[in-house]
Amino acid sequence: MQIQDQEFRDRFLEALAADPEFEAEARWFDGSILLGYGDQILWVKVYRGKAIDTLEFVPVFGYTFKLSGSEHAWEMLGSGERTFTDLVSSGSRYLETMEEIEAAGGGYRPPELAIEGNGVEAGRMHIATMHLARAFARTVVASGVPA
Amino acid sequence: MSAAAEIVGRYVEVDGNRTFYDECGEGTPVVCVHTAGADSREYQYLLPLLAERGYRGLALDLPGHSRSYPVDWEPHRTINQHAEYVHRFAQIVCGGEKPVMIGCSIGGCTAFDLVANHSEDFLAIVPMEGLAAGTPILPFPGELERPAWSTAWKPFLEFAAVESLGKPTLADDAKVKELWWQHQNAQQAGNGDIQGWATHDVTDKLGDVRCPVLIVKGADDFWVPESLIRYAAELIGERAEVAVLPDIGHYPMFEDPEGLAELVDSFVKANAEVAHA
Repeated sequence: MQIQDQEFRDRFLEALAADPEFEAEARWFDGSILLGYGDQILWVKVYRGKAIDTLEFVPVFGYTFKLSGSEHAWEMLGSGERTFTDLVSSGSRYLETMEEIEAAGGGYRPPELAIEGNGVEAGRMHIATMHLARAFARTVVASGVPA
Repeated sequence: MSAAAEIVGRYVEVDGNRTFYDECGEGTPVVCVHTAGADSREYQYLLPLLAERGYRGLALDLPGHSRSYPVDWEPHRTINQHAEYVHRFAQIVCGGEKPVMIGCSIGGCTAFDLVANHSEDFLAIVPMEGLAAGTPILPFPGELERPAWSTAWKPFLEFAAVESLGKPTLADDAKVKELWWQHQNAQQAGNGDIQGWATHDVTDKLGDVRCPVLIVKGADDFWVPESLIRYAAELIGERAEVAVLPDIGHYPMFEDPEGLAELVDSFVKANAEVAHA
């Protein structure tokens, strides 16, 4: 199964619809979130607390913000190996030596999951995005989406 | 079994700044310092357990946090400011008696700062979930300090807290909510705390430490790389011990207060002669 398959999209939106905290946090958001899973993308339209549509391409008017990472990063979130905060935070936390840390950029090493686009909107949607990301990642793992 | 000692809230003037602290028990003082954007409530479970073991637990709200006013109406933005304040607090409240000092996260960084600059004034120092040099593990957040500058900072810091719990506690919704509510000083005071974390570095001042140091890390805490706390222990030398706690995250005093009370008590008793030498 791929993330653009209808069955995957249905499972993902079903998981998100079952999360009242996502609905509450996103209640006054009217925009779209582009999810990047490795090279694959899924555009998600969110309006008044609900994900109401998905597209397998980016429409001409773009997206509000984007959340993207490697397949491995999403799988770490979906399996519970790492938390959302850990994955979206810059910094060198998994390297062994100071030399490795400095070479990687220290506190400015890019995060595993990148949030890009309209930062003000992404900021106010931080908790909603966390819930959306968890639902997406757990669906990836449960559906056996290949890396 | 005797009833748990009562926690009493008090205020003290620290160089003219109204400062809140919780106090519990009698005996050797133990000064406890909380994490970024939080307050003394993080130690509410530990203080009675320290009292049972013969200690006078003292957990303050750092300036700008909860019931303590900020100094000159500005948040502290360096760890050294926190450390000097805690040093003065200890001098005033402990009345000349050398205390044990415990700090967690930015409190742990504060503990390292006291190790570097005032170790002769403490019986023992216990940095938990902190670093002697916080620089590499996250970026400097000064540009996110005001609410108008970043809509994400406050929720980010709140969840930076709860998501770094150890996996067993993270699965307990009630404990997660409790810790989340303890982090409601997350905006400007909490941002100042993390500015301090991101710029703090006392690694060149750990060569002449005068008290025993117990460095504590929860194995599940992603914020603090074990390699960096072992590096700090190497710099301190024979006076440092490292304890890595399985299934614990960024909040040992909240996640396993009983285990931490026992650990600190054993360490202090085993090293008391060293401290008094």
